[in-house]
Amino acid sequence: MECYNCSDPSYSLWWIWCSGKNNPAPFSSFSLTAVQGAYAIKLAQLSNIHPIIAVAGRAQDFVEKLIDRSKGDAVVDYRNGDSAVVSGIQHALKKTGTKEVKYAFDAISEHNSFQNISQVLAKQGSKITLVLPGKDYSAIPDYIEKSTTTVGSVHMNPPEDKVKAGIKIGGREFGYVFFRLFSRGLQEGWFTAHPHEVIPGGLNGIERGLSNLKGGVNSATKYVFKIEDTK
Amino acid sequence: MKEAIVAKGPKVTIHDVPTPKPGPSQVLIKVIYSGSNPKDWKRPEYGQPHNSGDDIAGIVEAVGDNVLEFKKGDRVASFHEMMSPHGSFAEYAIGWDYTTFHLPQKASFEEVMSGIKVSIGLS
Repeated sequence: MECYNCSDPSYSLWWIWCSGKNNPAPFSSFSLTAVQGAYAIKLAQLSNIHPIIAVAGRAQDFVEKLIDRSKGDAVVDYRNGDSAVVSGIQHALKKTGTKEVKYAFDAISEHNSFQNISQVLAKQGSKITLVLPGKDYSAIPDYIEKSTTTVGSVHMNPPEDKVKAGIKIGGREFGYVFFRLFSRGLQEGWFTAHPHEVIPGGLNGIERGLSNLKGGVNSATKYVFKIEDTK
Repeated sequence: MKEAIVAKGPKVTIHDVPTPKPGPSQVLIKVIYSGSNPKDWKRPEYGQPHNSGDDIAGIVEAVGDNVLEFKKGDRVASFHEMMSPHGSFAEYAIGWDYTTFHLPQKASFEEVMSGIKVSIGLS
């Protein structure tokens, strides 16, 4: 089942954000080394959404700084295997007296991430959003509403079937609004930088930076390039 | 201007090319910092070599006729349309006006590069 938010890039982050205003809602983020998992956690924190159960490997120390243990948040290590991930999430939820978890942001969407998380999501009213388009997500049970969240949709029209149904605006308008929130967040101080590393050499550093990304050298770090340093 | 083209490998070559002109709803930005994402090596790995950078932080150089919010000299960040020409791995890059936003004075070009796109969700 694909739902409308396929064309609505951060729809999922958006409802996470909105849904938590008054009702703290358990939320599981498979952040692993994915930087966007970290930003999902940051946005969830702004709306008092707890407990946040994050799944991470090497980036655990970093994730630890983002979560709030006093509100029941926890980090589960994926390196101990699939069953340990499932039991780790269940244990973390139990510790806070949380009966069920309904929302998941799968910032990895591979290596059994969604299979594992499907096992802990509630049988009714659950939603998961995934980040890799065009993948086979049929392993996710039908009772979980699934969507893909992809940044490219801010440059796209709504899907054809939605246009036929009368929907005239979508991803572009969402992008317009969302990007303006960054200006405000930076100004107000609630949108903050992620750990990053400037690769020397400007444009000449790109090959090294991208090779490091490919080789998995980094964990939870963004590489940036200062263009004027190009020789 | 100089532009980096990413090919399978990743193998990067730098070329001297004409500075692009913004379309009616586009912004031409002098790139101060470019960000990077895993897709920047993945797409060229399976497709054509191109300037695969999408995260731009810099100063507006020129705007198209329909652009309301930006003018030359503004400090901005922008998310370049993926797979389209004139990405961020260059001295000047093109962004659509609706995915460009102003940077407050206190926000550095460098820090802002860490989080434009990932906040929306991209692998």
